[in-house]
Amino acid sequence: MLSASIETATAVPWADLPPELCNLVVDRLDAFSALRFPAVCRSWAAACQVGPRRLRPGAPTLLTPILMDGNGMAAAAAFALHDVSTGRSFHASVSGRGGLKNRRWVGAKDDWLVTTDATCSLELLNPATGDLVRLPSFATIPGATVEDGLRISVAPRSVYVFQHVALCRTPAHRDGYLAVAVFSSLLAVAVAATGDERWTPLRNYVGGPMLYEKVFAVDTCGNVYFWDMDDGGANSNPTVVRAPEIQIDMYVRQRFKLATSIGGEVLLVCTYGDSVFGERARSLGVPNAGYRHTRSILLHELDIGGGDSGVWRRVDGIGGDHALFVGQSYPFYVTVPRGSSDLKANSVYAADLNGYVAMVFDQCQGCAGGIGPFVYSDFRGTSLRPIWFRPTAHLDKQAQYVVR
Amino acid sequence: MEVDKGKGEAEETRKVAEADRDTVTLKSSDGKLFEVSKEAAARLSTVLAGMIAGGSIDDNGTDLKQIGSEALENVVDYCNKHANSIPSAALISSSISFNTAPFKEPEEWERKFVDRLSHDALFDLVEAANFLGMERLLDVTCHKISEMMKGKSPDQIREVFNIKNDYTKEELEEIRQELAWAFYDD
Repeated sequence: MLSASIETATAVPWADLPPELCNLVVDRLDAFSALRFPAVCRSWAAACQVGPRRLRPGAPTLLTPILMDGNGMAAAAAFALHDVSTGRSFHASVSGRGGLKNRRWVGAKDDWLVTTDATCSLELLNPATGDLVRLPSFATIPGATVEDGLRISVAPRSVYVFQHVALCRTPAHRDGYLAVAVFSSLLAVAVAATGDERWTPLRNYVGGPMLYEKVFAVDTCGNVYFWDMDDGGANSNPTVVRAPEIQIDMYVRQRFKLATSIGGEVLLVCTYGDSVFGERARSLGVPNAGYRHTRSILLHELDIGGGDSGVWRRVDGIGGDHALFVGQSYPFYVTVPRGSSDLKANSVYAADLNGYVAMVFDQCQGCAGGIGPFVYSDFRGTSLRPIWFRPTAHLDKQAQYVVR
Repeated sequence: MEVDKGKGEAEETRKVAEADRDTVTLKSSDGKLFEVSKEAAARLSTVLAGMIAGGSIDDNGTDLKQIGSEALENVVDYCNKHANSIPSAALISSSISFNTAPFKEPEEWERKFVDRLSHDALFDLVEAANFLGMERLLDVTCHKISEMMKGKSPDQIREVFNIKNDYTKEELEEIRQELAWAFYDD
């Protein structure tokens, strides 16, 4: 084999490919491959122009299936990345075998997706590198049986519907990944981390959790639950903080998401709106009459231990030059560059909301509208919903976490 | 094709040559002579077009000191094949709605043309195409190079192109930071 590899080895100095040629090559790569290009060697990195023309590492992008354009050009494993900080869209294909075939994403953080299939077998996938990490089966929860892609039953006769996974740490984190699985109905949060061979169920209710030394979850009414993880959370009941009083009329629909504030407190993000129809819907740019029109946002910060369990404090904004990104992915902040025309500072960007791929809010003006020409209805019928995604520069691989 | 070899294609080239200076003679860095259709050369290479228009073509072989004989042979071969191919209703690549420029996809014969090249020959050819200002040939060769790295990790790309990893661990971290310039994560 050694002699064969010497024969095929190329003798010309590819590292010295002139910069203009490097850029011609990169222009022809899909977005993920282009991200890896500078990682090959110093001279290629020096040649590679970083600019708005390219997908920039760290940029807040929306990952969506490729939009069908009438020519039926959507290919399996082909996706679009929409960089909302520049308004540019990129084509990306998922490398590696399988990847997202017959799978859908149910969570994300940075450039890692949590994917599931018809048997609830969860994986962490980095679509840029093709790295794959298998999560434990839900069957590792005591008494649990996986029924199908959505339901698990737990003896004696409880059924839980799997909703999504909050990926609190990715496999790239020095302490390994940390995932929180969220189910509807009573019980149902379970935690798994790198090295765990099972999910640890946490008792009682749910909605969308997050974590630092505690696991937090919110239900559809805005009540927040948290578990201290001192004892691993295995047997503890959660502390409950009732939802803040939000006085909006009864026809208004609210949605709640959790994030951390810039100061590190728990932040409850409530988007709300009413139903609009006909002419008014059209004048507001709501894609289909009858959608619930999300018109504004309310933010509350939690002082834990301020009362019996915690006290809500209404806040005016997320602060300064930041934009907060929430959705099915783990929430994150981006610093808005001064003078940026594409990103709005002190705003909340919510993915996958009310007919839009994403909407942007600020406290003064409420909803500033949907982002881009991408309307939700394009994705109806697909199980892949728009999700925030942050590409990183792949200068080396996290090989120790690869199972394949 | 080397002129003095009696191959079929050389014959053809000579026939064209007989129709009075319809060809130009190019000389590689190692002194070998190649003949190519003047029309094709002018159409496919901005540099050769300029030389032809400016009268700086030498009938005894125009010196192209930057280009070796193997690469020049491929350039001439490409020009001749291009002159003989019927351009298909060009296929604009499918990335219409994206920000990548709408490159023309290589045609079947162009794919085959670059597929048969060794890595070394490909490298020399892309440099020659760049030097001669041959936009279409650059398209085809850069497309081939990009195909060779699609979906590959940096390690695998280094292996394909025999490139040494000249990064230190610290530099990798530094570049990672630098690339994430405008953004941060708490």
